[in-house]
Amino acid sequence: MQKYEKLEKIGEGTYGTVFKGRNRETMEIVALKRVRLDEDDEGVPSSALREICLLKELKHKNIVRLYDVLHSDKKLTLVFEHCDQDLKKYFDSLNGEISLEIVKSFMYQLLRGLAFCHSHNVLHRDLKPQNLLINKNNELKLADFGLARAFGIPVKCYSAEVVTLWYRPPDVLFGAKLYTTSIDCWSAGCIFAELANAGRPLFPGSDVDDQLKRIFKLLGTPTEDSWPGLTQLSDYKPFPLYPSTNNWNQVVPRLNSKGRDLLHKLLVCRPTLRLSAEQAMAHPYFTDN
Amino acid sequence: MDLSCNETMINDENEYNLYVEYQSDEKPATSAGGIQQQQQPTVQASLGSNGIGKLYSNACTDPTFLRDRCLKNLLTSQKRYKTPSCSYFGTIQKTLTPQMRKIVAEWVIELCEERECQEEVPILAINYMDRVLNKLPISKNNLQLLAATCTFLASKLREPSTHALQPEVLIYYTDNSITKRDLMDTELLVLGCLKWDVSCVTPLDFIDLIISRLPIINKNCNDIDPEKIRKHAQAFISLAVREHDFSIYSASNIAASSIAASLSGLNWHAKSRISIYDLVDKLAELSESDSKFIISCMNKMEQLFQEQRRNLLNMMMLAKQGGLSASINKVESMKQPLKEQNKQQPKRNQETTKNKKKKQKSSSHVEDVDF
Repeated sequence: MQKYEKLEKIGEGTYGTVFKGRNRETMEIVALKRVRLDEDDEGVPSSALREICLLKELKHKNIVRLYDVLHSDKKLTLVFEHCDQDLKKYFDSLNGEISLEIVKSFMYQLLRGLAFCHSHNVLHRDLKPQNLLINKNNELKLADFGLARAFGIPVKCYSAEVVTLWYRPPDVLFGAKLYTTSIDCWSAGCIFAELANAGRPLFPGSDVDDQLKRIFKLLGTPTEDSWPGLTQLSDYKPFPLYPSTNNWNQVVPRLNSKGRDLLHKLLVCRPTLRLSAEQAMAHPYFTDN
Repeated sequence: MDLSCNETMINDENEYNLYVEYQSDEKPATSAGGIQQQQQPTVQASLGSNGIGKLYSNACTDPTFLRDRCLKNLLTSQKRYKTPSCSYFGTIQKTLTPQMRKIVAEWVIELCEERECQEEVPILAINYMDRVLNKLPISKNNLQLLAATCTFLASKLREPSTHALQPEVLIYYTDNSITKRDLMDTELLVLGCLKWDVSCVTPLDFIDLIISRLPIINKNCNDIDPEKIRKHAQAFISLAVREHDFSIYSASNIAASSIAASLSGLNWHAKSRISIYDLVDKLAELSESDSKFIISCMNKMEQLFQEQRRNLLNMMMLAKQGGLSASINKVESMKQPLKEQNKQQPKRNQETTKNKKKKQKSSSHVEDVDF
């Protein structure tokens, strides 16, 4: 720890305390994540293990950078690039107003970071505003890869370890057994709407049923016709047949028609029809002026 | 996402046996549990009792995953996790032999089968082990500790925390020859030695990416579906990781060769009237390896497979004569896997005894590790 000076505490991460720190040589400000290693626990926490080895590979301007891993007697310190705040805190500071340019810029950066992960065979699996960091220059960075994994080989699904409820896609809510990149794209869609509404979450469900109900009230209840295989999902159960809503301008009143079209294409219940991050980046919302 | 194939495959799970099984006409009518009779010679993967391969079938449904960029990035990043290209025996490792490595690799594979780990866990664990062995001299007494630690790490990385192997379980499988403290200390040593580069690219990662790009579906062989090719390829990979010889090949090379071996075993060349060798160039291109290596690796796999098959037939003959358990399925307890091997494969007596001694001796504390 000679190399870094510990400054004030920033917060509690999923598996450790986060401090602000300074590199003694370069004076650069960093974030120090402290992980305690107790013999009673299972050694290095799996979330720290995943985060370290995946972030070592993912070097991209829209992904938080891991500079160093320091190991001393009973603790591990992860040295990250420092960002001033996360998107959640950013929302709190907005007072309900956000510039549409910022919405577009943040969304594009989110997709670019995500496309990079996906092309490197990594699923994030826990996208939410708290895990998106924003620095002074309004650069957005994906962080907290504690649940992420390389997806070369399909994963057996255990619902306990996925995406926070509000950002969880209907296929996973119905107990889909495998994870694909489409899971992150759904979360990105939810975050897009939240951005456009200056921090008002799109589907703030209270439990799985409420979550699905909120989704279907907006998008229409899917059926075996619109989504073959739906009724075979392990946790499937029928819902009232809500029609899809036509007034997207009420859902995201400030977003232009191209933005609404992009949102619409990310929030598709059937995962195979959901836009990929790379496709979303090529959407006219970003390319046309 | 189409999940239908998951369900159908689950029913087959009991059919996966511990060993690769070759089913041809000349095979004696078998009493071994749960072997299906089929007309075509079939390799059945050693996938563990939970039919670990069962969820594999949907990989292709994610189009993002099949993008060229994904394959390119995988090919680039596999270099980071390359196992040593020359032997560490006699150089870095003065006391270890390839046979010891094989025994401990098999111990890892069987343990993972028994505990129903994700199929990549033993492959990752053996990759870590080889990379550590290529850097640090390890004494014979600590080889099993190293293997247990690597398995611990691989499981933690790839399995949901509720299903990861617990230290107590690993300790049990070493016959209590290691302690939790050993495991925790060695974990940090291994991570340091590997520079935390543990999210390895394995041959399994390449299988779907390569199969989906091969011109193999042909009107003459409708019954060859990618699912079958993949399962057989997996079985070849599982054979290959046991042997030190294969660490000279890249992960993509092993994947490509396993697919070639699988197609050959499925008689694809006879049905499609295309020589396997005509596919080799395409495989070499896709896996960014040399055609020569694809062929040599494939030949070695087939050789191993034949050996395995002969051993299996011998065992069955013995079983028929009575004395030994007829079942080649896993024995109830894997607590002493090395001793079990001893029983099943008399040829290995010498090594297993060595190993037993090793186990008895090792009250190993990390202080003993020549890290």
